[in-house]
This record gives sequence, C-alpha cells and structure tokens, in this order.
Amino acid sequence: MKVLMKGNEALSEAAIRAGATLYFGYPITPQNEVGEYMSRRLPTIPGGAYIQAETEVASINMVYGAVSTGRRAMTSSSSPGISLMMEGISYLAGAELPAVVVSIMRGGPGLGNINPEQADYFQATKGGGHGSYRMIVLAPASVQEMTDLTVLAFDLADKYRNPVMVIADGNLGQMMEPVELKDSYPNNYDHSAWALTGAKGRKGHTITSIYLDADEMEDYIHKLYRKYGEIERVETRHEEFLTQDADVVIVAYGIVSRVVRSAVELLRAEGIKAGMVRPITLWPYPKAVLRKLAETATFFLACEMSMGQMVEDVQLSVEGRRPVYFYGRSGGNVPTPAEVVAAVRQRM
Amino acid sequence: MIRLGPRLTVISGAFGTGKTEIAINLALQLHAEGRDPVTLVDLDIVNLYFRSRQKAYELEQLGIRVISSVEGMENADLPALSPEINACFDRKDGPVVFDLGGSDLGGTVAAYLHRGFASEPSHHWLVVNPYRPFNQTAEATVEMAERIAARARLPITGMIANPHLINETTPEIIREGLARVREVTRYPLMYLSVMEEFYVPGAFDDLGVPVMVISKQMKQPWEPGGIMMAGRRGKRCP
Repeated sequence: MKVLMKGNEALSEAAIRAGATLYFGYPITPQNEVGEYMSRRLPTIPGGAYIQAETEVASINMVYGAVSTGRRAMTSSSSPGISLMMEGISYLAGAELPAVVVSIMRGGPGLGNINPEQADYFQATKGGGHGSYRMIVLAPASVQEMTDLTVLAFDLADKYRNPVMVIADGNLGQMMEPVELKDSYPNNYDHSAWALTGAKGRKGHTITSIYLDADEMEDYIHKLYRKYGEIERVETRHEEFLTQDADVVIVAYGIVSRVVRSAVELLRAEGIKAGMVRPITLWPYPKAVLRKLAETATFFLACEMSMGQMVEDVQLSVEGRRPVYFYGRSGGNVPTPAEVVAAVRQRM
Repeated sequence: MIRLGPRLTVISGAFGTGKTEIAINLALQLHAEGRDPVTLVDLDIVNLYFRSRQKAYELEQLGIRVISSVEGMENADLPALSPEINACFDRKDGPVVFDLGGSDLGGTVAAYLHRGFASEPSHHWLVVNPYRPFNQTAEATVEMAERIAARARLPITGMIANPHLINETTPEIIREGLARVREVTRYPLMYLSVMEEFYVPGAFDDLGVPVMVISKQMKQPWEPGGIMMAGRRGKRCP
C-alpha cells in the first residue's frame, strides 16, 4: 500500500528497510526530518542506534567507525554541514569504506538561507574533500526515487566499498508524494574479508588510508582508479525524455527536471522539438548519451538551481560539437516552466 | 456552509497531514460565505517550506487578513511571530483560523497565546491523513493528538478526516481512509475533506459526514499556479 511521505522521511524509512541500523547526524534545515525520523525509528530496531553528534565532523567520523564493523550506517546534512564532512568523506574513500551520505542542498554560499538550491554539485562530484578519490553521487527527482536511490546507494556502497552520496534540494526533501516501499531490501554483502569484527581466531584486519611509501601510495591510488573506471562503465544512469528527434536538448537533474519536463511539453506544443536528459548519477556522469545526442541536436541548455555547475560536465561531454547554454536561478528560487521555455526561445 | 460556533478555529495535526491546506481553504470558504473580516494566522514556526504565508499575497488580494511572522523574517527558521497576532483576540470582529505548526512542537505556539484563547471559546480541530506515516493507526494518531493538545493547552474538540494520496487519490482511497480515521473514536468527526478534482456531487452522501471540498493551495513550482519557495519579488507578483 502506498504511503504519503516527505522526501526526507521517505529516504529515512528506505535506509532502515535496506538494513541501516545506525544513524549519526547534527540538525540543520532543510533536512531535519531525517534525524527526527531516525530518532523515532532506530531505537525500536534490534541493534539500532541514533546519535545526535556534537558536530557534522563528529557525525561523519562516527559513520567511519560504524561502517568499519561491516554494519550499514549513514548520516545526512545540508550544505554547510556537508562542507564540514568533506574531510571524513575523503577518509572513507581512502579507506574504501561503504557509507551513505545524504545531502539536502540549501542556499549558499556561507550561511546562505534554508531555501532549495543545487549549488553543491561541484562539492559532491568534483572532490570536495582532498586527494585523488571519487564518490558515487545519486540525484533523485521524486519522493519515490528518494527511497529507490537510497536503497541503491547502500548497495553500491557495499558493492564497491566506496562512499555514496544521495543529493537532493530542500524542495525534494520537504515535498510530499505517494511512495511504495518494500518490507525489506537485500542486504547480504560479505564483509568478512575486511570488517573489524573482533579478531577471534583470525588475523586482525586494518582499515587505513595511510601509505607512507610513494610507490605503495601510487599503487593504491591506481587500484582505486581501476575501481572508479569500473563504476563509470557499469553504474552510469540517466533518463531520456523525448530526445529521439530533439533539436533542443535540455539537461537537468533533481527537482529542476520536473520543471523541465513541463517546459518540454510546452515547447512541443509550440512545435519546437525539445527533449530532456536527466542524469540520475551525477558521478559517474552520463557523458556518452550527451555525446551521441550532439550528433543530432542543434544546441544544449543546462538548467540548474545554481549559477552553472553541471553545465561544465555537459560541455565536457559534448566536446565542443554543439553550443551549450545555461539557464539557472539561485537564492532558493525554483525556475518555472515558462522561464525555461523563454530561455530556449531566446537561443533559437 | 461551514459550521462555526466559536469565532476562533485552531487547525493542528502531525507533520504533513494537510493543516495548511485545510486552514487556507477554511479561510477562503468563510470569506466566500461573506463572514468577513476573515483572518488567517500562520503559527508555523517549525518548518518554512509550504506554509500559509506563501499564499499571503493572493489571500490579501481577496480581503483575507493574513498574520504570520515579523515582516522581513518570512524566510528565517526563527520563532518570530508578529505581535499583531494578539490583536485577533482583541478585535472580536470576525472568524479567525489559526494554522498551527506540525506535531507537538508546533502546539507550543498556541500555549504562548494561552491568555487569548482563555478569553473566548475556540475549536481545536485535528487534521488526520491515515496515509501519512505517523497517522497510520488510531493509537499513533491519538498519542500525537494528545501531545499536541497538552503542549497547546487546548483540548481537541473535533477531527477533519483528510484521506488522500495527492494526485493518486481515488474514491476508494477516500472511503478506505475515512474508515481508518473513524477508528479514532476519541474525537468527534467534523468533516471529510476532499480535493475538488476528486469530488463528485452526491458521491460521498452515504458516508454520514459533511464534506468540505478543498482546492489545492500548496502547489509545486512546476504545476500551474505553483508557489515560489522564496523571493520577495515573487511574493509581490501574482
């Protein structure tokens, strides 16, 4: 049976049903429903624990410790809080630990405001933390996807022993839609080869990201990058909407894709052949589909709730074959379908 | 026709049960019935997304008074309430609908206005949507309701059943949901609310409860008539 849930509640329940029993976090709007939900639900689950940490730095390091034992654990925050977690995310990637981090973006930079934005795209996909690492980044566009992609995030984290971020904006976190959840999701990865479970009757395991010797460090980084290459080959996900005959390809993710879908329908009604590509994985980025569409489309328009961040990945994908334009709003303003239609017409 | 005895009506409920939709619709219907001046008071300090004040411009154009946070603080998640709120107790000139924030935390704000509520009778109507996570059983609904009432220092005097799954609502969903709301026997059922797109005249007559037909107010930005999340510029333009 369907339930009516906010995005923040839905992803929390999905995490629990995917086997997450441990949550560590620090409050920040507009993602407080995650912590609130977890604080109600986790103490009722065998082995479950909710801890309100003293900071986001503490939260992410508690996640590091928890997932080192092979348990499914997560944290969540919003923009300034995610900034504080970046060191820990680099450590998780460096130690090859499976963790899920939920980022519900708000306005910025600095203290900004608590309205929805998508201006943490660079932070999520281009490092954010230090060193040569990659994080898988999933971008839901509906409350149902908040649940589905959270379940996927735990699976990918375990499959690749890598941190995975579910990234959405405040509007998606707060809005309500009907969702369907399964009672439980598979959670049967074997962590026995590396997890810290008490070295009774076996040699101890070590979880670390320190490699003092230059060659050892380089070999380890190469190993990580072979894994990232595999992720790029296997895990890239996107959705296309009316792209087959499209002259104009609009690229948008998350909540903006909902606006763009309406805009594409309006443009089609005017006889303009528009289509949309919606990246579901922001890293790895669906470059191949955009490169292919560059053979038939006249131009691309990236739409974001930022001053233009993902647009750079569209440009990299299209490789100069076609013009790539940008339309964005910021400060917490969500673009309307009419604005997107006007932005397309202006470039015709 | 809205059955109002007392002039003051407080709308409360768990998060996301439809308090704001009901409160705005109640104010609009009272206005349509000529019970002016109608006042809508937004007491939601819990969450700034999808609040009554985002409809303030439209409502004020109709002549409905909207009182919310301190001017200029609409987008701060601070417990900043307009001092004008006290005036609705003093004016005694027309119906006032209070949109309380979600859950027991939201109820605290009504307690802050206790002196006003003590000065004249009021309704305290609980909105229940059994398709929401914390309204799924009668026990959970009553437990939350009693926490709200205790925090608000206002006993609950009635319930509005608001069973829906937004755009996936069907007559069956409404009927099944109403049956589940009726499992809560502690409070009298005042209304069944039905969104206008799912309302068929006469179709719910056998249910034995007055139907309040409501129009969706808190629309997503991509829907026609959708509300803008933030900017003051947007607020000034209709």
